[in-house]
Amino acid sequence: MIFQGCTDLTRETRRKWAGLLFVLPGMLAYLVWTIYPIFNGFYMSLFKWNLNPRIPNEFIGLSNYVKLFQDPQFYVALSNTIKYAVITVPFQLVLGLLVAVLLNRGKKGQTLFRLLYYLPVITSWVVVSVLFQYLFATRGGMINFLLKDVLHLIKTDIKWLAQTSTAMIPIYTLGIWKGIGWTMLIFLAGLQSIPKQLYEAARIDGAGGWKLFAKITMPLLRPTFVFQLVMLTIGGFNVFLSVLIMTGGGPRNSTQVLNTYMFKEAFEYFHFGYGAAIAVVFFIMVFTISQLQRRFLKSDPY
Amino acid sequence: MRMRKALLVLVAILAVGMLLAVEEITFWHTYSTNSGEYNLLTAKIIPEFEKAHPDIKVKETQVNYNDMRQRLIVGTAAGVLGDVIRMDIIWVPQFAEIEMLVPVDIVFAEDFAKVKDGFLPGPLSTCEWKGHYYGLPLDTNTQVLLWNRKLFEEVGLSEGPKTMDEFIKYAKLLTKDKNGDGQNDQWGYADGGLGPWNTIPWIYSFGGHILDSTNQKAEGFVNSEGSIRALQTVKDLFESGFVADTIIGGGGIGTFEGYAENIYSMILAGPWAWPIIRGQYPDAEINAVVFPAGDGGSRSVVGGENIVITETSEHKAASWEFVKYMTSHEVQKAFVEVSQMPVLKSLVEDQVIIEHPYFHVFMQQLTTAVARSPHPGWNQINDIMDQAWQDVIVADYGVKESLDYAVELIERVLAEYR
Amino acid sequence: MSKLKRIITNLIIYILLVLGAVIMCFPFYYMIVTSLKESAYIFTVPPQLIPEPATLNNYVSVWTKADFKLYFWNSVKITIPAVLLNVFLSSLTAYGFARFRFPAKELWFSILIATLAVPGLLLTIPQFDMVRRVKFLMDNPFTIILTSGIGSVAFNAFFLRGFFEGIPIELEEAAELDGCNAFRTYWKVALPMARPALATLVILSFLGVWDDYFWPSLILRERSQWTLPIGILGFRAQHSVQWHLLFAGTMIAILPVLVIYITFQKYFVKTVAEGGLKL
Repeated sequence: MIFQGCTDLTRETRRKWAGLLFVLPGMLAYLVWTIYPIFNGFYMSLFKWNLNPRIPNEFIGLSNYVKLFQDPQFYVALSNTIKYAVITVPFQLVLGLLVAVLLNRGKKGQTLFRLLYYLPVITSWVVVSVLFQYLFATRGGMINFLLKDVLHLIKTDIKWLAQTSTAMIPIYTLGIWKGIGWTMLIFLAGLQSIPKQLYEAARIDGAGGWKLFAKITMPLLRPTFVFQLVMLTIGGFNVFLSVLIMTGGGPRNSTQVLNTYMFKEAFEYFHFGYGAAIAVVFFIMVFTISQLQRRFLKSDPY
Repeated sequence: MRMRKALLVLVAILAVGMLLAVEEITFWHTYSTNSGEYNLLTAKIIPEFEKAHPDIKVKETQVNYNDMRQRLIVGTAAGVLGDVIRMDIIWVPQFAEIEMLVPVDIVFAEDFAKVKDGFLPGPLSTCEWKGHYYGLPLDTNTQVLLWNRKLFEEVGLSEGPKTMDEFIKYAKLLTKDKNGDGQNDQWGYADGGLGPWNTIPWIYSFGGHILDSTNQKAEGFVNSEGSIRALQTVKDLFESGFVADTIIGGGGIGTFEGYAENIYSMILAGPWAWPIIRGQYPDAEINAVVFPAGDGGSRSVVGGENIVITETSEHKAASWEFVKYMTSHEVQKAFVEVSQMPVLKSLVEDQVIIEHPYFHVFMQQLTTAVARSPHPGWNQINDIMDQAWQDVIVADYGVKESLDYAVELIERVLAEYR
Repeated sequence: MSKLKRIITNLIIYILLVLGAVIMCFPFYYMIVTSLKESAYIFTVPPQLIPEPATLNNYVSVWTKADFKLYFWNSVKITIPAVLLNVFLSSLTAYGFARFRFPAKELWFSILIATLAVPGLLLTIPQFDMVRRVKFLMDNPFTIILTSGIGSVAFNAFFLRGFFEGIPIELEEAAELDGCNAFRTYWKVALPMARPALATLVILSFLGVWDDYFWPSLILRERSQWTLPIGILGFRAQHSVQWHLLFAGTMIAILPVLVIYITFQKYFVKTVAEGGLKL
C-alpha cells in the first residue's frame, strides 16, 4: 500500500514537470512577443506619449481615461462595435453550423461545396472590402442592380454607404459572408469527432432526425460552440479593415468602430497615449466578455 | 622587408579608410515600380548624382504609397528611418512638430538662403512650421476643371466656364435624365468627396478661408462670408440634382470613368488624370481650364511632395547634397518628362512646360493655388471640415451653424499646439 | 411516402446549398472575371459579367513583369516552416494544458486567452522596436517565420486543447503503461488521434501566414524579399488601382491556399472511428 502511494506521488510530480515543460516554450515565446508589448501599451496610456523616443513623455496619469469616458465619439464607436458583434456573430454561428451539418452527410458533391463555402475566408480583407464597396455602390453597383433592375424590389437606388441609416449594412454583410466558411470548417471538424456509434445506438433506441441532433450533436459540439462564440466575439470586436476601407468611419462618423477610432487617434492625430487608453479599455471589455462566455457556457460533454 | 610591410599596412588602412569614407544614404520614396519616375530615378538621376559625388552612395527604397505613413510612424518610434524621405506635403508639419525633421533653414542656412526664392510660393509654404523650414518642395500638383467637349457641344457650349456664374449656369444645362426613368444619368459636375482636398477650390475661389495666413486662427476664417457662400452654393447645386452622388461617397462611377464615358460633364482632377484616363480610354479627349473664378479669383488646392532629411540621419550633410540635387533646375526639368510637376519658378515658362500637352494649365493654376494649412493638427482640421460639409449637404444642417461649430472644434485643435 | 419525403427534403437542401454557394462565390467570380479583362472594361455600367474580350495577359504580365514569381517563392519559403513551427508549438502547448496538472494552470491559460482580446494595431510598435534592435532580424525572412510561428500560439492552443480533452484518455494511459514517456505518448498517440483538428489547424495557420501583410511589409524592406501580399497591394498606387492586375495577382496567391485546403480537408474523414480502439 505505502509502496503504491510512493510511486503515485512520484508520478504526480513527474507529470507536473512534464506538463510545465510542454507549455513552457509556447508560453515563454508568447510572453516576450505579446505580453511585453501589452504592458508597454498600458504604460503608454498614462502619458501624453510622443512618437519621437528622444522627446521625454509627459506623465498625465489617468487623464487619458477621464477624457475617454467623456468623449461622445468613443461611445459611438463602442456602440457600433457592440452592435457589429451582436449582429454578425449569431448569423455566422447558425449559418455555419447549418452548412456544416448539411455537408457532413456524406452526399455527393460535398468536397466541392465545402470548397466553395470556404472561398470567402481565404480572400484578403483588403480585397473583399474594396469589392463589397463596389457591389454596394449607389450607381452601378451589383446589389442595387439586382434589387432594382432585375428583381424590381426597389424603385430608386439605395445609397448604401452614403447615408448614416444604411452604412453599416454592407459592413455587417461582409462580416457574415466572410465568416460563414470559417465557422463551417470548425464545426465540421467538431462533427467529425463525434463517434458514429453514439448515433447508431440512439437510432436503435428509436430516436429520429431532430432528436439525434438535439440530444447528441448539440451537447457534444458544446466545446466547439463555446470556442467559436468566444473567438467570433473577439473577432467581431476587432473589426477594422472592412470599416477603414469601405467607409473610413463615415458617413459623418456613423460607422466608426473602436479599432478605427483608435487608429485615427493614434496614427493620424498622433495621440498615442490616448489611443493606448482606448486599447486598454477595449482589452478589458473583450477579456471580460470572453471570460463570462467561457464561464457561463462551460463545456460538459459526457 | 620591414619597409615593405609597413607600406602594405598603410595601403590597407588607406583602402579601408576610403571605403569607409563613402557615405551611404537611404532615400525613401513612393514612386511605384514600373513607373516612369522610378525608372528615371534609378537609371539616370541617382547614377549621375553618384558620379558627381563619388563619396556618396544613394540607396533608394520603394515604399508602397498606402504604407508610407505607417512605415514612417513605426520607424520614428523605433528610430529607424531613411536619411532622405519624399514625404506628402501635409505630413511635414506633423513630423516637424515632433522634431523628426531637420530644419534646413537653420542647419544649412547659407545654402537655403540661396535657393529659397527659386521655389513657387504655394509649395514652399508647405515646408514651413513655426517660422522654420523643414525640407524643400520636390514635386507639386493641383486640381483643375476638366470639361467634356462632347457634352458641352450637345447643349451649344464651346468652352469651359471661366466664372462661377457660368459654371452654375452650365451645370444646370448639362444635367439630364436621358432614359426617362426619373433619375438623372448625366450630371453637370461630379467629385469624389467633401474634404478640403475637394472643397478648397470652392472655398477660396469664393473668397473664403480655412485658417488665417499665420495658421493660428480659425474664427472669422472658417466661417467667413466667402466660406459660407461657397458651402451654400455647393449645397444648392447638389439639392438641384446637378452634382452626381459620388460627392457624398457611397461609391459609384468614378470621376475619371464618368468623364470619359460622357456621364460627367465637369470634374476636378490633377495631372495624373491624363495617364489614368488614357490608360483605359486611349482615344479620350481631355480638356481643362482653371477653376472658375469667384470673388476670390480662381484658386485651387496644392498637392505634392516635399523632400526632407530626418533628424536620425547620420549623414545629414550628404543628404543635403542629394536634396539640393533633386531640387535643381536640371533634375526638376528631367522629371517633367515623367509627369512630375516642377516646383521651381524658373520652369514655369520653360519650353518643356509650354510644349507639354497639359502641364501649362496646371502651372497657371499653381500661381494662385492654396496649400492645406501647414499645421501638425491638419489631420484633425481636415476631418472637422469634412464633417462640417457633410453635415450640411448630407444631413441638412444649417450652413452657418455647421461652420461655427467647426470653428469651435478647430480652435481646440489649434490650442493643443500653441 | 417516406421515400418521396426524403427525396423532396434532399432536393430542398440541395437547392439551398447551391443558392448559398452562389452567394458565397459571387464576389469571387467577379474577381476572376475582372482578372481576365483588359483594363478598359473594368468599370462598364452595367458591370460586365462575362469578359469579352477575355485575356490571360494579366496573369502573364503579373508573373513575369511584376516579379510575382519571386514573391511566390518568398512566400512559400516563409509559410511552410512557419506553419510547421506553429503547429508543433501550439500542439505542445495545448497538450500540456489538456493532459497535465501543474500549479496555476488555469491562470496561465487565462492569461494566454486574454492576449487574444488585445487589438493588434498598437502591439506593432513595441514589437517592431524589439526586432529592430537585433540587426540580424531586420530584412530577414527568418524573423517572419519566427514571429508567425509564435504569433498565433494562443489561439491555436485554445482550439487544440478542447480537441485533446475530447479524445478518450485510455489509449494514452495504455501507452504509458507500455513504457512511453510523456513526449512519446504525445508524439505517437495523441497527435495522430487529433488529425482532424491538426488538419484544420494547418489550413488556418497556412492562410494566416500566407496572407499576412502589414508585419512582413515592415520587416522585409528589400523588394527581393517581398511576399505575395506585399506585391499584390503594390498595384494600389497613389491615385489609381490597377484592378485587373491586382485580381490576377490575388488569384495566383489564392491557388496554394486552395491546394492546402483540398489536401488537408480529406483528414476530416473520421479517424476516431467505431469506439476509437482501432489503430
